[in-house]
Amino acid sequence: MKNLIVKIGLCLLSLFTAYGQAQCHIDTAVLTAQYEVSQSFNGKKHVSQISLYRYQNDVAYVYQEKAISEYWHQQKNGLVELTRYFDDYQQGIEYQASEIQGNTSWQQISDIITPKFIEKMTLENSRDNACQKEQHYVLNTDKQSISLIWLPAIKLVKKLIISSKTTEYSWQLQQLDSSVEKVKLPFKKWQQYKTTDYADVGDNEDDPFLAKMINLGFIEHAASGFYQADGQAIAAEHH
Amino acid sequence: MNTLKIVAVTIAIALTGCSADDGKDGAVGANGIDGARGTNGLSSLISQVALPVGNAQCLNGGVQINSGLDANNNSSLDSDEVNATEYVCKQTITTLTANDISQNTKSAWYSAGETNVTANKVNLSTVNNETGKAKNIILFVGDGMGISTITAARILAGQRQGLLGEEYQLSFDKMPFSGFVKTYNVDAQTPDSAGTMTAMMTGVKTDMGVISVGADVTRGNCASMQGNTLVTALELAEISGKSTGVVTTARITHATPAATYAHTPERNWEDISDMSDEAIASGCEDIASQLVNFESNLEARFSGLNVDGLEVVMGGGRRHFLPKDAAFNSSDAKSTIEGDRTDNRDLTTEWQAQYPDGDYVMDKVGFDNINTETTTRIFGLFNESHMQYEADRKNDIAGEPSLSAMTEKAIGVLNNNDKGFFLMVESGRIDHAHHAGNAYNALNETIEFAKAIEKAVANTDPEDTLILVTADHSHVFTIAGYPKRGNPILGKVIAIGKTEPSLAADNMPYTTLGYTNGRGYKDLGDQTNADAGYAEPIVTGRVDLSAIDTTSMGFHQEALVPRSSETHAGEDVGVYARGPSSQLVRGTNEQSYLFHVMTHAGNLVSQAEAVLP
Repeated sequence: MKNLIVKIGLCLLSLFTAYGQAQCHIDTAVLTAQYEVSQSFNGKKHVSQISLYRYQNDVAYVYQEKAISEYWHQQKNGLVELTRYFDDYQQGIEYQASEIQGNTSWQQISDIITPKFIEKMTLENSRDNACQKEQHYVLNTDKQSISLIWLPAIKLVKKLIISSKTTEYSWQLQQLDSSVEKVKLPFKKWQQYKTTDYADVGDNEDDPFLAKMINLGFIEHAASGFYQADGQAIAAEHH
Repeated sequence: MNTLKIVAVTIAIALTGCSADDGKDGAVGANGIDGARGTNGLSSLISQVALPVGNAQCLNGGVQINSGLDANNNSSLDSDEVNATEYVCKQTITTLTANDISQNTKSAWYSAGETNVTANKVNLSTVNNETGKAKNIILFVGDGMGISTITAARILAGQRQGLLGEEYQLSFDKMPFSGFVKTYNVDAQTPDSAGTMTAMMTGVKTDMGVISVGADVTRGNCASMQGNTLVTALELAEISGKSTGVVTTARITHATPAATYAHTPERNWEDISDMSDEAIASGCEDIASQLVNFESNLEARFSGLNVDGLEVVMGGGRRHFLPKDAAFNSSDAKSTIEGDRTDNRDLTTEWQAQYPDGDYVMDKVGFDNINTETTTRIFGLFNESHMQYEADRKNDIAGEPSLSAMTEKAIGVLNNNDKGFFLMVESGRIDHAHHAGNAYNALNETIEFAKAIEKAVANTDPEDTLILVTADHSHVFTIAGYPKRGNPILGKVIAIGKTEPSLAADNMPYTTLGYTNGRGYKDLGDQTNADAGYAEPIVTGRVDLSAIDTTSMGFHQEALVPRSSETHAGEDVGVYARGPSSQLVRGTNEQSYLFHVMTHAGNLVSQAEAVLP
């Protein structure tokens, strides 16, 4: 069953029950997941939508609000490169960094969090539901509390809340889709975009697109959405 | 100061009175009472002042003698007490003995300079300036390699060898002749590579962004090219019957290498997908296609001309030669779809069909297998985009050669032609590392560039090969502060006699190397790819570097003005030369002058005219 849409939320449990065995056929390498991401700081809340796409060695995060997408590609030698696409301009910037900085690994890009992150947490309970097992992990430190509902079979975050006295970040899975055609759609779209090699930006700042990008600070405002083992966001959004 | 004090003696004399008539002398009266003692006289003082060489009164030095009375009795001859001044000057020196300058001559700096003078006199008297004496011409271009980059790279190279660094010489520092080059474009104070390389390759300065076409062209307007196409030094060499080659670590279709073989009003038209419909309809040809069609295009421009095309082409940029179809991906592909071409042409197979005896290679194994004595030509495309930074080369998927290896291989193939060769070698990624604000990779690339030049020096004869080394433009890269001698060039400033970093007015340490503008501070640790910094946010202002290892590969220097990318700079760059006509490289010159040095040395214009029907 290729066109499988799973709504996550209040009806998640019933859907999982209804589709039961079919869930097991979801290819972890071919799916798209829609998240509602909220960030609260001193009582002010900002909510945005982020879509995760996995297709073989390609992973993409689409930031709808900003019309920016980050496309990650794992090369044959395991190294990773990044392209940022700007839908409003139908152009992209290629970052051919052969290694991604810091603790960011392909697993982190693909799964949002790493096993190392989960290892640090305590398993509160586990709910077997065919292959859609749900695991609830928690981690409380002096500075923050982390709560994670993890779907191990498809290596996906269902819900993640990182809260401190003044801030709260949360990722809430809204929708899951494993349709190959649907997953491939943005990748096909981006292939039609004109791209500029990062190294050539310096020679092309008279390009209106690049000038616009610079003025709006696109590069520095695109959030990676990745979290390190200590729960800190890597290159989190700047406001 | 020696002071001579002389005490004067005061003598009082009493006079007796006299009467009107001379009578007998009375009895001698008793001695009167001594008068009151007079006050002591003033001391007379003399002072001597030694005069140095160059004094207005005594040009050769001497002694100034001041004299006067010590009016205030302070036993010192004050300036207002001087009433006479005499000078005793040394005689003019008419001979100089070795002993007189022994403090100079025993210095290593002195003797080294003396040796250099002797060597340069020999160089001047022996270098051949005969037109056409250079059978071979090699132009090395360090993209973005300004003077400060050369200085810093020299220090780093020396320090890597355990030296203090400043005294070290890169391979081209040793060349006998050098000068300065003014880099501005016709329409720009601070230039880009397209305009500057056009000046070097054609003898004509032009606008920013256009390649080997005149300044009357409107950038991006294909129709405006009509009647504005220039002839390049490489084309003249090709027409003359020499072998020709282009080597770069950038994409082979990038501005600098493209200016040797292509003509276009837009440097970004690297393949047909980059061009507008208007440009295609007007008959403009993308740069990659011009490379593969170099032979036929040149023959078409000059009626009756028969040439054999480029013998050596090596660099990156495979994406511009392959169709946008995953089926054409090479084993070295990084992207899901490697090619960019939207006209479904596979230019690599077109080249192989055109030159069936040539070697098309795309990885290090293929490169290593080339026998320079038997192969007729090489077409090497080692990366989808630019080749890796030297520090990052190990991370290439299929492996790729270094710039020095490519240079050696290129010369090995090109020197099989008895008529000689023209070769352009570009280190393309010095520029990219600077744009990213990463001094480590800019300097590391420069050191590899120097190694490539060393290979060329070792594999050619100075009697018949002119080697020019220069840059297309500079970058806003500085060597600042007052670091002590031998201080790590990538480190923080530590002053003379100190062991801890100097602090700026904000109480924080600072690095010797920095940028006027750009993306600013990043600490990416052992990240070897300078461009990884582009994925990080711009950092403005100062950062506390106290706990940061600024010598690491991934450190990006602080910058003053925040920009998405660090920029070129407009000051002069250097040019270095060895071989026939190299003595023409001197003084401060327009960039277009270098074309004339090369064509004079190789007599390229006359030789080409002789071939043309």
